[in-house]
Amino acid sequence: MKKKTLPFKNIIRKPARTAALTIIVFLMSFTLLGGTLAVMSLQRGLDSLETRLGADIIVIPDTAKSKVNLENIIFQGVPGYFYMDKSYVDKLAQVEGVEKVSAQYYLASLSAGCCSMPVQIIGYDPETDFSVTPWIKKSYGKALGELDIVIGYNVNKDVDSYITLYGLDCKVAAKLEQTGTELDNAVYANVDTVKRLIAAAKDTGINELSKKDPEKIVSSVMIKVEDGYGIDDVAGDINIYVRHVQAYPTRSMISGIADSLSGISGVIRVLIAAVWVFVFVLLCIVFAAMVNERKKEFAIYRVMGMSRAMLASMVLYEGVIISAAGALLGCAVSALGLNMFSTAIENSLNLPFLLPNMGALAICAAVTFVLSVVISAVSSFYAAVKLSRVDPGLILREGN
Amino acid sequence: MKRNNKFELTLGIIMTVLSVLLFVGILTFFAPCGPKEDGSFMKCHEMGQAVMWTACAMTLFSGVSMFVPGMIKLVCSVVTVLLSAAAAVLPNVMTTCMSEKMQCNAVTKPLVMVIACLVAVVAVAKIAVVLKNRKKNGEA
Repeated sequence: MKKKTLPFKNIIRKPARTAALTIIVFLMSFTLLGGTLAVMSLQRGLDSLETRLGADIIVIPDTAKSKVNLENIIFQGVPGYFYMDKSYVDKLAQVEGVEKVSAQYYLASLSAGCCSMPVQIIGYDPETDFSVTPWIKKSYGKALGELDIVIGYNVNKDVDSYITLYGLDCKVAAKLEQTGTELDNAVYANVDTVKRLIAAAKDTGINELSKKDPEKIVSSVMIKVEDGYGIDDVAGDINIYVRHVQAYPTRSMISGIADSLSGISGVIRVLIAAVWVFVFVLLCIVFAAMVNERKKEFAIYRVMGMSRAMLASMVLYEGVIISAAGALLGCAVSALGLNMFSTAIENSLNLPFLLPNMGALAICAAVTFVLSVVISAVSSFYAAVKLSRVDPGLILREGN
Repeated sequence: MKRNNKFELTLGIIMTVLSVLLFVGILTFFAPCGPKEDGSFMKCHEMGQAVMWTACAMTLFSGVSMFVPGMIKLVCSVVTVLLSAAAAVLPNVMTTCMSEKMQCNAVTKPLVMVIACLVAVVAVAKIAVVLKNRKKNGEA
Protein backbone atom coordinates (compact mmCIF):
# COMPACT_ATOMS: atom_id res chain seq x y z
CA MET A 1 0.00 0.00 0.00
CA LYS A 2 1.53 3.30 -1.11
CA LYS A 3 0.88 5.79 1.64
CA LYS A 4 1.54 8.87 -0.50
CA THR A 5 -0.85 8.02 -3.32
CA LEU A 6 -3.66 6.79 -1.09
CA PRO A 7 -5.24 10.22 -0.36
CA PHE A 8 -5.28 11.01 -4.10
CA LYS A 9 -6.89 7.66 -4.88
CA ASN A 10 -9.51 8.26 -2.16
CA ILE A 11 -10.28 11.68 -3.61
CA ILE A 12 -10.63 10.39 -7.19
CA ARG A 13 -12.66 7.35 -6.12
CA LYS A 14 -15.42 9.52 -4.63
CA PRO A 15 -15.96 12.33 -7.17
CA ALA A 16 -19.28 13.54 -5.69
CA ARG A 17 -17.83 13.92 -2.19
CA THR A 18 -14.72 15.62 -3.57
CA ALA A 19 -16.81 17.98 -5.71
CA ALA A 20 -19.03 18.93 -2.75
CA LEU A 21 -16.05 19.73 -0.51
CA THR A 22 -14.27 21.60 -3.31
CA ILE A 23 -17.36 23.74 -3.92
CA ILE A 24 -17.60 24.65 -0.21
CA VAL A 25 -13.95 25.78 -0.09
CA PHE A 26 -14.38 27.46 -3.47
CA LEU A 27 -17.23 29.55 -2.02
CA MET A 28 -15.12 30.45 0.99
CA SER A 29 -12.12 31.70 -1.01
CA PHE A 30 -14.33 33.28 -3.69
CA THR A 31 -16.21 35.43 -1.16
CA LEU A 32 -13.09 36.40 0.77
CA LEU A 33 -11.00 37.41 -2.24
CA GLY A 34 -13.95 38.89 -4.16
CA GLY A 35 -15.16 40.89 -1.16
CA THR A 36 -11.68 42.09 -0.21
CA LEU A 37 -10.88 43.15 -3.77
CA ALA A 38 -14.26 44.90 -4.08
CA VAL A 39 -13.66 46.91 -0.89
CA MET A 40 -10.08 47.73 -1.98
CA SER A 41 -11.27 48.75 -5.46
CA LEU A 42 -13.90 51.09 -4.04
CA GLN A 43 -11.37 52.72 -1.73
CA ARG A 44 -8.80 52.98 -4.54
CA GLY A 45 -11.43 54.49 -6.84
CA LEU A 46 -12.26 57.15 -4.27
CA ASP A 47 -8.58 57.96 -3.67
CA SER A 48 -8.03 58.13 -7.41
CA LEU A 49 -10.99 60.50 -7.83
CA GLU A 50 -9.65 62.79 -5.11
CA THR A 51 -6.19 62.83 -6.71
CA ARG A 52 -7.51 63.27 -10.23
CA LEU A 53 -9.69 66.24 -9.30
CA GLY A 54 -6.38 67.82 -8.37
CA ALA A 55 -7.78 71.10 -7.08
CA ASP A 56 -8.66 72.07 -3.52
CA ILE A 57 -11.72 74.05 -4.58
CA ILE A 58 -13.92 74.00 -7.69
CA VAL A 59 -15.82 77.19 -8.52
CA ILE A 60 -18.85 76.99 -10.79
CA PRO A 61 -21.70 79.36 -11.77
CA ASP A 62 -24.17 80.02 -8.97
CA THR A 63 -27.14 78.01 -10.25
CA ALA A 64 -28.58 74.76 -8.95
CA LYS A 65 -28.26 73.37 -12.47
CA SER A 66 -24.50 73.96 -12.49
CA LYS A 67 -23.95 71.95 -9.31
CA VAL A 68 -26.14 69.09 -10.52
CA ASN A 69 -24.33 69.15 -13.87
CA LEU A 70 -20.89 69.15 -12.24
CA GLU A 71 -21.81 66.26 -9.95
CA ASN A 72 -23.30 64.41 -12.91
CA ILE A 73 -20.10 64.93 -14.92
CA ILE A 74 -17.80 63.82 -12.12
CA PHE A 75 -19.83 61.15 -10.34
CA GLN A 76 -22.47 59.89 -12.77
CA GLY A 77 -20.67 60.25 -16.09
CA VAL A 78 -23.55 62.21 -17.61
CA PRO A 79 -22.00 64.69 -20.03
CA GLY A 80 -23.04 68.29 -19.51
CA TYR A 81 -21.97 71.91 -19.77
CA PHE A 82 -22.47 75.29 -18.06
CA TYR A 83 -20.72 78.59 -18.50
CA MET A 84 -19.87 81.82 -16.68
CA ASP A 85 -18.03 84.97 -17.60
CA LYS A 86 -14.25 84.67 -17.96
CA SER A 87 -13.70 87.76 -15.78
CA TYR A 88 -14.39 85.59 -12.71
CA VAL A 89 -10.99 83.92 -13.17
CA ASP A 90 -9.19 87.19 -12.32
CA LYS A 91 -11.61 87.99 -9.49
CA LEU A 92 -11.00 84.60 -7.91
CA ALA A 93 -7.21 84.93 -8.25
CA GLN A 94 -7.39 88.03 -6.03
CA VAL A 95 -9.10 86.27 -3.11
CA GLU A 96 -6.78 85.89 -0.12
CA GLY A 97 -5.33 82.40 0.23
CA VAL A 98 -5.70 81.47 -3.44
CA GLU A 99 -2.35 80.24 -4.81
CA LYS A 100 -3.26 79.09 -8.31
CA VAL A 101 -6.33 79.40 -10.51
CA SER A 102 -7.03 77.65 -13.77
CA ALA A 103 -10.14 77.71 -15.90
CA GLN A 104 -11.77 74.63 -17.39
CA TYR A 105 -14.30 74.34 -20.18
CA TYR A 106 -16.99 71.68 -20.38
CA LEU A 107 -18.72 70.59 -23.51
CA ALA A 108 -20.86 67.54 -24.24
CA SER A 109 -20.53 66.04 -27.69
CA LEU A 110 -23.70 65.01 -29.52
CA SER A 111 -22.02 62.19 -31.36
CA ALA A 112 -18.55 60.76 -31.15
CA GLY A 113 -18.28 59.47 -34.69
CA CYS A 114 -19.27 55.96 -33.72
CA CYS A 115 -22.31 55.82 -31.53
CA SER A 116 -24.97 58.19 -30.35
CA MET A 117 -23.20 58.18 -26.99
CA PRO A 118 -22.30 61.72 -25.93
CA VAL A 119 -18.78 62.26 -24.66
CA GLN A 120 -17.76 64.78 -22.01
CA ILE A 121 -15.16 67.15 -23.39
CA ILE A 122 -13.01 68.91 -20.78
CA GLY A 123 -10.87 71.79 -21.91
CA TYR A 124 -7.96 73.11 -19.86
CA ASP A 125 -5.50 75.96 -20.17
CA PRO A 126 -1.99 74.42 -20.45
CA GLU A 127 -0.37 77.66 -19.23
CA THR A 128 -2.17 77.73 -15.88
CA ASP A 129 -3.43 74.17 -15.41
CA PHE A 130 -2.26 72.15 -12.43
CA SER A 131 -4.95 69.47 -12.21
CA VAL A 132 -5.11 67.78 -15.64
CA THR A 133 -1.59 68.36 -17.03
CA PRO A 134 0.25 66.11 -14.50
CA TRP A 135 -1.97 63.20 -15.58
CA ILE A 136 -1.62 63.93 -19.28
CA LYS A 137 2.19 64.18 -18.93
CA LYS A 138 2.27 60.57 -17.75
CA SER A 139 0.82 59.44 -21.09
CA TYR A 140 1.93 62.23 -23.45
CA GLY A 141 5.13 64.20 -22.98
CA LYS A 142 4.50 66.92 -25.56
CA ALA A 143 2.11 69.86 -25.57
CA LEU A 144 -1.25 69.19 -27.22
CA GLY A 145 -1.67 70.82 -30.62
CA GLU A 146 -4.87 72.27 -32.03
CA LEU A 147 -7.51 69.57 -32.54
CA ASP A 148 -5.33 67.09 -30.62
CA ILE A 149 -7.17 65.36 -27.81
CA VAL A 150 -6.31 63.04 -24.94
CA ILE A 151 -8.91 60.39 -24.20
CA GLY A 152 -9.86 58.77 -20.90
CA TYR A 153 -9.10 55.09 -20.34
CA ASN A 154 -12.63 53.93 -21.14
CA VAL A 155 -12.88 55.66 -24.50
CA ASN A 156 -12.46 52.80 -26.93
CA LYS A 157 -10.18 54.45 -29.52
CA ASP A 158 -6.53 53.94 -30.41
CA VAL A 159 -3.81 56.57 -30.24
CA ASP A 160 -3.37 58.38 -33.60
CA SER A 161 -6.94 57.56 -34.66
CA TYR A 162 -9.54 60.31 -35.14
CA ILE A 163 -12.80 61.15 -33.35
CA THR A 164 -15.34 63.41 -35.02
CA LEU A 165 -16.69 66.00 -32.58
CA TYR A 166 -19.17 68.58 -33.89
CA GLY A 167 -17.95 67.87 -37.42
CA LEU A 168 -14.28 68.42 -36.55
CA ASP A 169 -11.84 65.52 -36.84
CA CYS A 170 -9.80 65.44 -33.65
CA LYS A 171 -6.63 63.34 -33.44
CA VAL A 172 -6.21 61.09 -30.39
CA ALA A 173 -2.74 62.03 -29.11
CA ALA A 174 -2.75 59.83 -26.01
CA LYS A 175 -4.86 57.70 -23.72
CA LEU A 176 -4.85 58.35 -19.98
CA GLU A 177 -4.26 55.76 -17.27
CA GLN A 178 -7.30 54.20 -15.63
CA THR A 179 -8.74 56.00 -12.61
CA GLY A 180 -11.87 53.93 -12.08
CA THR A 181 -13.94 57.11 -12.09
CA GLU A 182 -16.32 58.72 -14.56
CA LEU A 183 -13.42 60.88 -15.70
CA ASP A 184 -12.20 57.79 -17.60
CA ASN A 185 -14.98 58.46 -20.09
CA ALA A 186 -14.02 62.06 -20.82
CA VAL A 187 -12.01 63.63 -23.62
CA TYR A 188 -9.40 66.30 -22.74
CA ALA A 189 -8.28 69.11 -25.03
CA ASN A 190 -6.43 72.37 -24.69
CA VAL A 191 -8.25 75.66 -24.58
CA ASP A 192 -7.77 76.45 -28.30
CA THR A 193 -9.27 73.14 -29.38
CA VAL A 194 -12.17 73.53 -26.98
CA LYS A 195 -12.89 77.05 -28.21
CA ARG A 196 -13.01 75.72 -31.77
CA LEU A 197 -15.31 72.94 -30.60
CA ILE A 198 -17.53 75.42 -28.75
CA ALA A 199 -17.72 77.53 -31.91
CA ALA A 200 -18.56 74.42 -33.94
CA ALA A 201 -21.17 73.43 -31.34
CA LYS A 202 -22.64 76.92 -31.58
CA ASP A 203 -23.00 76.42 -35.33
CA THR A 204 -25.03 73.29 -34.65
CA GLY A 205 -27.48 75.49 -32.72
CA ILE A 206 -27.08 74.35 -29.13
CA ASN A 207 -29.24 76.83 -27.21
CA GLU A 208 -26.93 77.34 -24.26
CA LEU A 209 -24.09 78.39 -26.53
CA SER A 210 -25.93 80.38 -29.16
CA LYS A 211 -25.62 83.71 -27.36
CA LYS A 212 -22.15 83.26 -25.93
CA ASP A 213 -18.74 84.18 -27.29
CA PRO A 214 -16.32 81.24 -26.76
CA GLU A 215 -13.53 83.74 -26.04
CA LYS A 216 -15.39 85.23 -23.06
CA ILE A 217 -16.65 82.18 -21.19
CA VAL A 218 -15.33 79.46 -18.89
CA SER A 219 -17.13 76.56 -17.20
CA SER A 220 -15.35 76.21 -13.90
CA VAL A 221 -12.29 77.48 -12.11
CA MET A 222 -9.96 75.08 -10.32
CA ILE A 223 -8.27 76.61 -7.28
CA LYS A 224 -5.21 75.54 -5.33
CA VAL A 225 -5.11 77.02 -1.84
CA GLU A 226 -1.91 78.53 -0.48
CA ASP A 227 -0.17 76.70 2.37
CA GLY A 228 -1.27 78.04 5.74
CA TYR A 229 -4.83 78.78 4.64
CA GLY A 230 -7.79 76.53 5.34
CA ILE A 231 -9.58 75.17 2.26
CA ASP A 232 -13.01 75.66 3.83
CA ASP A 233 -12.12 79.22 4.89
CA VAL A 234 -11.01 80.19 1.38
CA ALA A 235 -14.12 78.57 -0.13
CA GLY A 236 -16.23 80.48 2.40
CA ASP A 237 -14.54 83.77 1.47
CA ILE A 238 -15.20 83.14 -2.22
CA ASN A 239 -18.86 82.43 -1.52
CA ILE A 240 -19.13 85.66 0.49
CA TYR A 241 -17.08 88.06 -1.63
CA VAL A 242 -17.48 86.83 -5.21
CA ARG A 243 -21.07 87.06 -6.38
CA HIS A 244 -22.88 84.70 -8.77
CA VAL A 245 -20.44 81.84 -8.28
CA GLN A 246 -20.34 78.94 -5.83
CA ALA A 247 -17.14 77.44 -4.44
CA TYR A 248 -17.06 73.75 -3.46
CA PRO A 249 -14.13 72.18 -1.61
CA THR A 250 -13.43 68.94 -3.52
CA ARG A 251 -13.29 66.96 -0.27
CA SER A 252 -16.85 67.97 0.58
CA MET A 253 -17.98 66.99 -2.92
CA ILE A 254 -16.73 63.45 -2.48
CA SER A 255 -17.86 63.08 1.13
CA GLY A 256 -21.23 61.74 -0.06
CA ILE A 257 -19.44 59.07 -2.04
CA ALA A 258 -17.20 58.29 0.93
CA ASP A 259 -20.32 57.72 3.07
CA SER A 260 -21.88 55.35 0.52
CA LEU A 261 -18.56 53.60 0.18
CA SER A 262 -18.18 53.07 3.90
CA GLY A 263 -21.74 51.68 4.05
CA ILE A 264 -21.15 49.25 1.18
CA SER A 265 -17.73 48.22 2.53
CA GLY A 266 -19.30 47.52 5.95
CA VAL A 267 -21.99 45.32 4.40
CA ILE A 268 -19.40 43.42 2.34
CA ARG A 269 -17.21 42.83 5.43
CA VAL A 270 -20.17 41.53 7.47
CA LEU A 271 -21.14 39.22 4.60
CA ILE A 272 -17.59 37.87 4.30
CA ALA A 273 -17.49 37.19 8.06
CA ALA A 274 -20.91 35.50 7.96
CA VAL A 275 -19.94 33.29 5.00
CA TRP A 276 -16.68 32.28 6.70
CA VAL A 277 -18.34 31.34 9.99
CA PHE A 278 -21.04 29.42 8.09
CA VAL A 279 -18.50 27.63 5.88
CA PHE A 280 -16.25 26.75 8.85
CA VAL A 281 -19.18 25.19 10.74
CA LEU A 282 -20.30 23.44 7.55
CA LEU A 283 -16.81 22.05 6.91
CA CYS A 284 -16.56 20.73 10.48
CA ILE A 285 -19.93 18.97 10.05
CA VAL A 286 -19.04 17.62 6.60
CA PHE A 287 -15.67 16.23 7.72
CA ALA A 288 -17.22 14.69 10.84
CA ALA A 289 -19.98 13.08 8.74
CA MET A 290 -17.41 11.91 6.19
CA VAL A 291 -15.27 10.26 8.85
CA ASN A 292 -18.35 8.63 10.36
CA GLU A 293 -19.41 7.31 6.97
CA ARG A 294 -15.91 5.92 6.30
CA LYS A 295 -15.42 4.36 9.73
CA LYS A 296 -15.22 0.81 8.37
CA GLU A 297 -12.81 1.81 5.63
CA PHE A 298 -10.52 3.37 8.22
CA ALA A 299 -10.84 0.37 10.52
CA ILE A 300 -9.66 -1.86 7.65
CA TYR A 301 -6.65 0.41 7.13
CA ARG A 302 -5.84 0.02 10.82
CA VAL A 303 -6.16 -3.76 10.62
CA MET A 304 -3.83 -3.70 7.58
CA GLY A 305 -1.16 -2.04 9.71
CA MET A 306 -1.68 1.66 9.39
CA SER A 307 -0.89 3.51 12.59
CA ARG A 308 -3.28 6.01 14.18
CA ALA A 309 -0.99 8.89 13.27
CA MET A 310 -0.77 7.71 9.66
CA LEU A 311 -4.55 7.47 9.45
CA ALA A 312 -5.03 10.94 10.93
CA SER A 313 -2.44 12.42 8.58
CA MET A 314 -4.14 10.75 5.61
CA VAL A 315 -7.48 12.38 6.48
CA LEU A 316 -5.72 15.70 7.00
CA TYR A 317 -3.85 15.29 3.71
CA GLU A 318 -7.10 14.59 1.86
CA GLY A 319 -8.65 17.72 3.36
CA VAL A 320 -5.67 19.86 2.41
CA ILE A 321 -5.59 18.59 -1.20
CA ILE A 322 -9.32 19.23 -1.70
CA SER A 323 -9.21 22.64 -0.01
CA ALA A 324 -6.14 23.68 -2.05
CA ALA A 325 -8.00 22.82 -5.25
CA GLY A 326 -11.14 24.67 -4.10
CA ALA A 327 -9.19 27.69 -2.87
CA LEU A 328 -7.16 27.91 -6.08
CA LEU A 329 -10.33 27.74 -8.16
CA GLY A 330 -12.09 30.31 -5.94
CA CYS A 331 -9.18 32.75 -6.14
CA ALA A 332 -8.84 32.35 -9.91
CA VAL A 333 -12.57 32.78 -10.62
CA SER A 334 -12.85 35.71 -8.23
CA ALA A 335 -9.85 37.62 -9.62
CA LEU A 336 -10.73 36.88 -13.24
CA GLY A 337 -14.42 37.68 -12.72
CA LEU A 338 -13.70 41.01 -11.03
CA ASN A 339 -11.28 41.92 -13.79
CA MET A 340 -13.75 41.08 -16.54
CA PHE A 341 -16.79 42.64 -14.91
CA SER A 342 -15.21 45.64 -13.16
CA THR A 343 -16.90 48.10 -15.54
CA ALA A 344 -20.27 46.43 -15.08
CA ILE A 345 -19.80 46.57 -11.28
CA GLU A 346 -18.81 50.24 -11.50
CA ASN A 347 -21.90 50.93 -13.62
CA SER A 348 -24.23 49.20 -11.20
CA LEU A 349 -22.73 50.68 -8.01
CA ASN A 350 -22.35 54.14 -9.51
CA LEU A 351 -19.21 54.60 -7.44
CA PRO A 352 -15.55 54.95 -8.45
CA PHE A 353 -14.11 51.45 -8.79
CA LEU A 354 -10.43 50.84 -9.50
CA LEU A 355 -9.00 47.34 -9.15
CA PRO A 356 -5.72 47.00 -7.22
CA ASN A 357 -2.54 46.51 -9.22
CA MET A 358 -1.19 43.03 -9.98
CA GLY A 359 1.16 42.94 -6.97
CA ALA A 360 -1.58 43.73 -4.45
CA LEU A 361 -3.94 41.33 -6.21
CA ALA A 362 -1.37 38.52 -6.03
CA ILE A 363 -0.76 39.16 -2.31
CA CYS A 364 -4.52 39.14 -1.57
CA ALA A 365 -4.95 35.92 -3.58
CA ALA A 366 -2.03 34.25 -1.76
CA VAL A 367 -3.38 35.25 1.68
CA THR A 368 -6.87 34.03 0.75
CA PHE A 369 -5.45 30.73 -0.50
CA VAL A 370 -3.44 30.12 2.67
CA LEU A 371 -6.36 31.10 4.95
CA SER A 372 -8.81 28.85 3.10
CA VAL A 373 -6.43 25.87 3.27
CA VAL A 374 -5.68 26.47 6.96
CA ILE A 375 -9.39 26.74 7.85
CA SER A 376 -10.15 23.51 5.97
CA ALA A 377 -7.18 21.78 7.61
CA VAL A 378 -8.38 22.87 11.06
CA SER A 379 -11.89 21.56 10.25
CA SER A 380 -10.57 18.18 9.12
CA PHE A 381 -8.05 17.99 11.99
CA TYR A 382 -10.80 17.54 14.59
CA ALA A 383 -12.30 14.69 12.58
CA ALA A 384 -8.86 13.14 12.10
CA VAL A 385 -8.10 13.24 15.85
CA LYS A 386 -11.51 11.78 16.71
CA LEU A 387 -10.95 9.02 14.19
CA SER A 388 -7.53 8.05 15.55
CA ARG A 389 -9.11 7.27 18.96
CA VAL A 390 -11.60 4.72 17.60
CA ASP A 391 -11.03 1.01 18.18
CA PRO A 392 -11.00 -0.76 14.75
CA GLY A 393 -12.07 -4.10 16.17
CA LEU A 394 -15.18 -2.56 17.69
CA ILE A 395 -16.14 -0.88 14.41
CA LEU A 396 -15.68 -4.03 12.34
CA ARG A 397 -17.76 -6.05 14.81
CA GLU A 398 -20.56 -3.42 14.67
CA GLY A 399 -21.58 -4.63 11.19
CA ASN A 400 -22.11 -8.22 12.23
CA MET B 1 -28.10 3.22 -18.75
CA LYS B 2 -24.37 2.70 -18.21
CA ARG B 3 -22.55 5.14 -15.92
CA ASN B 4 -20.29 6.47 -18.72
CA ASN B 5 -23.25 7.00 -21.06
CA LYS B 6 -25.04 8.84 -18.27
CA PHE B 7 -22.03 11.13 -17.80
CA GLU B 8 -21.83 11.70 -21.57
CA LEU B 9 -25.52 12.64 -21.62
CA THR B 10 -25.07 14.98 -18.63
CA LEU B 11 -22.24 16.77 -20.43
CA GLY B 12 -24.41 17.03 -23.56
CA ILE B 13 -27.26 18.55 -21.55
CA ILE B 14 -24.94 21.08 -19.85
CA MET B 15 -23.45 22.00 -23.25
CA THR B 16 -26.89 22.52 -24.79
CA VAL B 17 -28.25 24.50 -21.84
CA LEU B 18 -25.21 26.83 -21.92
CA SER B 19 -25.56 27.27 -25.70
CA VAL B 20 -29.26 28.11 -25.28
CA LEU B 21 -28.33 30.54 -22.49
CA LEU B 22 -25.88 32.28 -24.84
CA PHE B 23 -28.47 32.41 -27.62
CA VAL B 24 -31.27 33.73 -25.38
CA GLY B 25 -28.94 36.02 -23.42
CA ILE B 26 -27.52 37.80 -26.45
CA LEU B 27 -31.09 38.55 -27.50
CA THR B 28 -32.33 39.61 -24.07
CA PHE B 29 -30.52 40.22 -20.78
CA PHE B 30 -27.00 40.74 -22.07
CA ALA B 31 -27.88 42.03 -25.52
CA PRO B 32 -25.49 44.61 -26.98
CA CYS B 33 -26.39 48.33 -27.04
CA GLY B 34 -29.83 49.26 -28.37
CA PRO B 35 -30.47 51.35 -31.47
CA LYS B 36 -29.63 55.06 -31.65
CA GLU B 37 -32.32 57.71 -31.33
CA ASP B 38 -32.58 57.94 -35.11
CA GLY B 39 -33.28 54.19 -35.30
CA SER B 40 -29.94 53.20 -36.83
CA PHE B 41 -27.81 50.51 -35.21
CA MET B 42 -24.72 51.08 -33.12
CA LYS B 43 -21.39 49.55 -34.13
CA CYS B 44 -21.75 46.62 -31.75
CA HIS B 45 -24.95 45.44 -33.46
CA GLU B 46 -23.03 43.30 -35.97
CA MET B 47 -21.04 41.67 -33.18
CA GLY B 48 -24.32 40.83 -31.43
CA GLN B 49 -25.74 39.31 -34.62
CA ALA B 50 -22.59 37.25 -35.22
CA VAL B 51 -22.64 35.89 -31.66
CA MET B 52 -26.37 35.18 -31.91
CA TRP B 53 -25.98 33.06 -35.08
CA THR B 54 -22.93 31.29 -33.66
CA ALA B 55 -24.88 30.51 -30.47
CA CYS B 56 -27.75 29.23 -32.63
CA ALA B 57 -25.37 26.84 -34.43
CA MET B 58 -23.84 25.81 -31.08
CA THR B 59 -27.31 24.96 -29.73
CA LEU B 60 -28.05 22.91 -32.83
CA PHE B 61 -24.81 20.92 -32.81
CA SER B 62 -24.70 20.35 -29.05
CA GLY B 63 -28.36 19.30 -29.06
CA VAL B 64 -27.89 16.93 -31.98
CA SER B 65 -24.76 15.43 -30.37
CA MET B 66 -26.95 13.96 -27.61
CA PHE B 67 -29.07 11.87 -29.97
CA VAL B 68 -26.74 10.73 -32.75
CA PRO B 69 -24.46 7.70 -32.54
CA GLY B 70 -20.66 7.20 -32.71
CA MET B 71 -18.64 9.23 -35.16
CA ILE B 72 -21.34 11.87 -35.84
CA LYS B 73 -21.54 12.55 -32.09
CA LEU B 74 -17.80 13.15 -32.05
CA VAL B 75 -17.95 15.44 -35.09
CA CYS B 76 -20.82 17.45 -33.54
CA SER B 77 -18.85 17.92 -30.32
CA VAL B 78 -15.72 19.01 -32.22
CA VAL B 79 -17.80 21.52 -34.23
CA THR B 80 -19.27 22.82 -30.94
CA VAL B 81 -15.76 23.37 -29.57
CA LEU B 82 -14.78 25.33 -32.70
CA LEU B 83 -18.00 27.36 -32.65
CA SER B 84 -17.66 28.21 -28.96
CA ALA B 85 -14.05 29.28 -29.51
CA ALA B 86 -15.28 31.52 -32.32
CA ALA B 87 -18.03 32.95 -30.09
CA ALA B 88 -15.47 33.75 -27.38
CA VAL B 89 -13.20 35.51 -29.88
CA LEU B 90 -15.90 37.43 -31.81
CA PRO B 91 -16.44 40.29 -29.26
CA ASN B 92 -12.68 40.89 -29.26
CA VAL B 93 -12.13 40.97 -33.01
CA MET B 94 -15.34 42.67 -34.11
CA THR B 95 -15.99 46.37 -33.55
CA THR B 96 -17.81 47.36 -30.40
CA CYS B 97 -18.90 50.79 -29.16
CA MET B 98 -16.50 53.56 -28.25
CA SER B 99 -16.94 53.67 -24.49
CA GLU B 100 -15.91 50.78 -22.26
CA LYS B 101 -18.87 51.74 -20.06
CA MET B 102 -21.47 50.88 -22.66
CA GLN B 103 -23.52 47.70 -22.34
CA CYS B 104 -21.70 45.90 -25.19
CA ASN B 105 -18.27 46.36 -23.59
CA ALA B 106 -19.25 46.21 -19.91
CA VAL B 107 -21.71 43.31 -19.94
CA THR B 108 -22.12 41.57 -23.33
CA LYS B 109 -18.43 41.05 -24.09
CA PRO B 110 -17.36 39.42 -20.78
CA LEU B 111 -20.51 37.30 -20.47
CA VAL B 112 -20.22 35.99 -24.04
CA MET B 113 -16.57 35.08 -23.38
CA VAL B 114 -17.35 33.33 -20.08
CA ILE B 115 -20.30 31.29 -21.42
CA ALA B 116 -18.52 30.41 -24.70
CA CYS B 117 -15.41 29.26 -22.78
CA LEU B 118 -17.58 27.12 -20.47
CA VAL B 119 -19.25 25.49 -23.50
CA ALA B 120 -15.81 24.83 -25.00
CA VAL B 121 -14.55 23.21 -21.78
CA VAL B 122 -17.66 21.01 -21.46
CA ALA B 123 -17.47 20.06 -25.14
CA VAL B 124 -13.80 19.06 -24.81
CA ALA B 125 -14.72 16.95 -21.76
CA LYS B 126 -17.49 15.33 -23.78
CA ILE B 127 -15.09 14.52 -26.63
CA ALA B 128 -12.74 12.87 -24.10
CA VAL B 129 -15.62 10.80 -22.66
CA VAL B 130 -16.87 9.81 -26.13
CA LEU B 131 -13.38 8.74 -27.20
CA LYS B 132 -12.92 6.77 -23.97
CA ASN B 133 -16.25 5.00 -24.48
CA ARG B 134 -15.40 4.19 -28.10
CA LYS B 135 -12.06 2.75 -27.03
CA LYS B 136 -13.79 0.69 -24.34
CA ASN B 137 -16.31 -0.62 -26.86
CA GLY B 138 -13.53 -1.49 -29.30
CA GLU B 139 -14.60 1.04 -31.94
CA ALA B 140 -11.90 2.62 -34.13
